[in-house]
Amino acid sequence: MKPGGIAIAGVLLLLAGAALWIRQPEPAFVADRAASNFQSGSQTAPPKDGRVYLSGAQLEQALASKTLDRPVKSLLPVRGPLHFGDYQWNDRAVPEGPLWIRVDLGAQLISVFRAGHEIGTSVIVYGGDNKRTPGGRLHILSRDKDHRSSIYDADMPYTLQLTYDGVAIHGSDVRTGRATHGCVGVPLEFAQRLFDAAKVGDEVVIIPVSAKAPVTT
Amino acid sequence: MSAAVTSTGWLSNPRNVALAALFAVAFSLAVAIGVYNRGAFPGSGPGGVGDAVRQGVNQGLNGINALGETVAGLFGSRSPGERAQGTLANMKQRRGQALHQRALPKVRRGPSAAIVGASPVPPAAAPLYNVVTDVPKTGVPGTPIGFTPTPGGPGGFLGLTPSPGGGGIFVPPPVTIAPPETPTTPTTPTTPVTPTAPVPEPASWIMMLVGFLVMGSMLRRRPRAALLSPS
Repeated sequence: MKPGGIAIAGVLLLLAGAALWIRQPEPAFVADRAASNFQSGSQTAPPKDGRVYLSGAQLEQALASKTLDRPVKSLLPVRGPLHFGDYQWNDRAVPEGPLWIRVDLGAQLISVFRAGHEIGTSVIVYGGDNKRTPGGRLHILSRDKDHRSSIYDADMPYTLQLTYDGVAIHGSDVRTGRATHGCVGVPLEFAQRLFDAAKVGDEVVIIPVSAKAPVTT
Repeated sequence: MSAAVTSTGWLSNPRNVALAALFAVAFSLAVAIGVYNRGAFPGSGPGGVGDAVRQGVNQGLNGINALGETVAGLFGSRSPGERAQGTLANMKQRRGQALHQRALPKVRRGPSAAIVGASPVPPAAAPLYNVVTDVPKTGVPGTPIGFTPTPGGPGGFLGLTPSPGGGGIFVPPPVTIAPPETPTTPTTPTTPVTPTAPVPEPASWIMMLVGFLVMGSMLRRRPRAALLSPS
């Protein structure tokens, strides 16, 4: 009996592991009838796909506290803090629409919105103390897939140029303790997806670090 | 399986109780995960019980996230936190030959020299560039070394046929003069490859689990005397 029991227990453990391993792909969009708390004004009912849909009160609070500067419908469901180099991208069934990018330097996060839905987020690296990343509302000036910086003699793949003095969003080695010369560095795969999604003229809002940090210059 | 299952005294053995507990835990885990994934049991289609369970779980998680949470809080929960103060001055890692590049003065366009009217740079000033002072070696052929014939024996010093006594002419091997080294341009350093994650794949975990199970079962099958015997 004993060896048989051990064998059965082992098989069941294996089954559990295999069930964990064989993850279903993400569930398809299912029209949700119960999402009545969703802010009215959109033509289509919000799909229930694991996204975090903002209620009207949440959105008003975010707009009032300047966390957001325009209406946002849903965020990606990110559980727990992202690590350096992590990113999430899910634009499945998100309709076409205006794209804008929110860069939060204090939180070290970037979020990409399309038609009010967040389609991508990642941890960033940004400018160091003596080469600060500028804040404010910028626009993508140019795109360059295989950019090579003439100033720093470094490859900057998937560059989205933001300012005329060279600040850009580009693929970078995102690690703890890194800083850039002013650019916003994102993981390479994320940069590729962002590069494909963005076009010249899209808006980039960079929220600077709060004034707690000492200003050395 | 055996008659021991039906006997009432089966659970009196604590080892069997532990085994049963393990059995129950594994079974319930497998069922729960299978129901959640809905793929482990092919009979249940979309809209089945797995779908409802999954939706409930997701809604529960989203509810926890979204109920009393502000948007700033949602962003904050996914943030790795503010950058530490100590790393603020940390620029990109200095790479191998970056010093050579950074020694170059920043070239700015504009009529700054004309406005200031600065005197031209004296020719004796330090060079603007970190010139790689790698003087190519001149191709002076060195004197061949090792031409020390050992005179010895009755053989003649210049004899073309050296006697077996030894000696004779020691012909030095031809020395090839290496061409002068050309200073190579420093190659641009490649970006460091990010190391792979230290967390093993699920397949590795499963394999490790199977290995442990096999080891444990072998140890348990082996008679105790064999384990305790000195040889």
